[in-house]
Amino acid sequence: MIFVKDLHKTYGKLEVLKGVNAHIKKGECVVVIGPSGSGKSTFLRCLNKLEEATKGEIVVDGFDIMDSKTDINRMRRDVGMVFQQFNLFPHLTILENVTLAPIKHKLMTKEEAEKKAMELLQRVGVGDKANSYPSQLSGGQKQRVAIARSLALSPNVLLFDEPTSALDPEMVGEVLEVMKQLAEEGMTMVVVTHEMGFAREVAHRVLFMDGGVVVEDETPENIFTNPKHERTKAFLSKVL
Amino acid sequence: MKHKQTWKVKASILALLFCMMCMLGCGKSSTSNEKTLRVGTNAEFPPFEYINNSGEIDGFDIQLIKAVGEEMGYQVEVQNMEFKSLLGSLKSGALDAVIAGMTVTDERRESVDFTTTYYTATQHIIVTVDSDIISLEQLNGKKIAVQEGTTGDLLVTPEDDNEIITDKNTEVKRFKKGTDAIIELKNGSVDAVVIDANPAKEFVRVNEGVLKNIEITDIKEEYAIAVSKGNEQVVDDINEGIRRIKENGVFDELVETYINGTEKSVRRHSDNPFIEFLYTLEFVFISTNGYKLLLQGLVATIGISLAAVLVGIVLGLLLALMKMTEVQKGKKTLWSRLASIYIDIIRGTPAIVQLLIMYMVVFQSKMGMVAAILTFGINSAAYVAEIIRAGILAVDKGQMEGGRSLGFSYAETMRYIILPQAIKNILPALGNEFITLIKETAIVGYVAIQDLTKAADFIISRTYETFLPLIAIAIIYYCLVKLLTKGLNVFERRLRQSDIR
Repeated sequence: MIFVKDLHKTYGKLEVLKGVNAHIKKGECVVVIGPSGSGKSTFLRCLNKLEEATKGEIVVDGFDIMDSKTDINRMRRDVGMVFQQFNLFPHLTILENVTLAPIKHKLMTKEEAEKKAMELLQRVGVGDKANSYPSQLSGGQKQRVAIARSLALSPNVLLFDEPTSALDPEMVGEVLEVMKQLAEEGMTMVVVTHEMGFAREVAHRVLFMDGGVVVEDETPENIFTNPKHERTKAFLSKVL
Repeated sequence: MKHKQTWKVKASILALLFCMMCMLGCGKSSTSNEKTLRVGTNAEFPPFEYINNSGEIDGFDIQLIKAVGEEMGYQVEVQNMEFKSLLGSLKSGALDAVIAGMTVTDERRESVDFTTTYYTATQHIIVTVDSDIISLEQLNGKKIAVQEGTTGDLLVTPEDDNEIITDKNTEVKRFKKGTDAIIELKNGSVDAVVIDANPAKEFVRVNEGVLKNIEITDIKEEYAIAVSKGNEQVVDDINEGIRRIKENGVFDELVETYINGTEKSVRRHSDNPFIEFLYTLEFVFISTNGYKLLLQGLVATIGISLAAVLVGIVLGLLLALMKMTEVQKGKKTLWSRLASIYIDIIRGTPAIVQLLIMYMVVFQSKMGMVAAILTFGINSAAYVAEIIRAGILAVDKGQMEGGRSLGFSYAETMRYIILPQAIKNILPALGNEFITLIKETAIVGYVAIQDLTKAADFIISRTYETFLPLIAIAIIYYCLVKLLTKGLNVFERRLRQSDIR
């Protein structure tokens, strides 16, 4: 589903990614962990071209990201993204936030889109907020709406960029619960997070990144109980 | 691919605008109708030409040319403009003839042709009743006011005419209008005004007891109608027309009505200062129809400002989007450079200069209203562009990423997500731009549009009262701005409330 080979990314002289390799299968939930500045967010953002990779191969859901002829906007409909800061549209109601893309992309009529949106909002537990505006919601609710908004386009892959980092601690659980459900339903997910509990419990695989490369690519059991690399050990000893 | 398309759209809109401007500018040759006689005048020279109490151009010259036109089968269109630009407009082809109490001189003969003369005028010196000046010679070393470009100007300006006795010690103040020269004299800033006999008599009549006039007997002038060089057909037709109206008595009637007329002043006087003040009010605003002029002026001012702000918004949005390509691409683009140059030039030149270029060069002294609206629209666009750009940039960067991650193109994200939010930042600032524009339009009088300021100008030139009309328009402008500011504040508060909802 996602195939990344020798991915490089530089900002001016600063090389952030120094040859990342990853292979993610359909239905897999992969969690990316690592210290700040290790390049994990940049790696994730390269997958849907919010950042343009400098060099390498990236194929996501059959789209060759590095090919300038690829219709990136089409690709992004199939590859949803959830942001740390939610990025809900404050001028639209919750329902409108969710239905905007399917309606404007002419994938559904307004009625169909609203029906589906209500289902999604109920699924993530904010059905009663459909007619509210984002500013009236708590952080946890906003993030769940953001997930529903991504799901409205029926994506094949979902990318999560530190989805719980901007949340108050008591709201982290409700968001992780939604993500866990998605993983159990077989959604292909790439999650950049600091939530080690989630990684251990939900992830099929964990990528540990440091210094712009994937240092270790293992199952959660192996990486948390028996890390191979010194750097992994050092990092985990600090966060666990 | 999508980006290219939006570029094309922008480019074609711009091209269309340029085409429109060119067409408007070049339209002059196709609009000339052989049955129309476009006559220029400067309606500041009573009794030959002035704005009457109904706000129309009137006077001996105007009625004369209309009578001639009727006689010879011409539709006469009279245009009011600065005396100085009359001959220029004749040469550029914007006018067919000029009738403006214009004296035939050898200098003028070099650039235009004249019809037969229709009136002989002498020059008069106007002074205050207590002045001891009685001859032209005594003007040497004094301060003299004249109407720019008139015979009086040539007469007293040292370098211009060596017949005359004034030297470099003489200070000559040139005004666009004879009435302004008179007001200068009444205010005591000059010692004398030198002007043609008939306006002089008129000025003294309405300022009875304050001013007196002295005829300069040794200089006589002939008034004639100026026609562009080589236009014999029009010269012949006008000469024939003048001959006919002299024959049928219309000419004498006009002389009687306008030049020898004993029209009584409508002004009442009282010894009680308060009642005198009320009489002055009545005279300035009611009996000479000043209020009508002010109302018409107000409508013109608001109309021009509103239309200009709309042009400014459309053009400004275009410019802002052109500049925004810089943010999208992360470096300067052709479009952003073009927009920057536009904004730079517009901000770096005075609006009045832009207005004159638009009116005189692009529009060839036609369609003053359109020229003014376009000028202020184009001018305002430079400021609106920055307002819109700032409004767009103030929207959180995550909104663009949020939109793009849902598969929207840059343009779609702008349209559905960024602009609706930016509008809240933009609207209040746009309202301020509108308020600024209202005040800036006070210069449209330069291109013969009767806005609020020009209305005050007319009232002054008819009543010789400066204080009341100027205070009146100041109050009107102030109230207008105050009202809009209040309205804007209410509107802004509403917008903010919707943020809290």
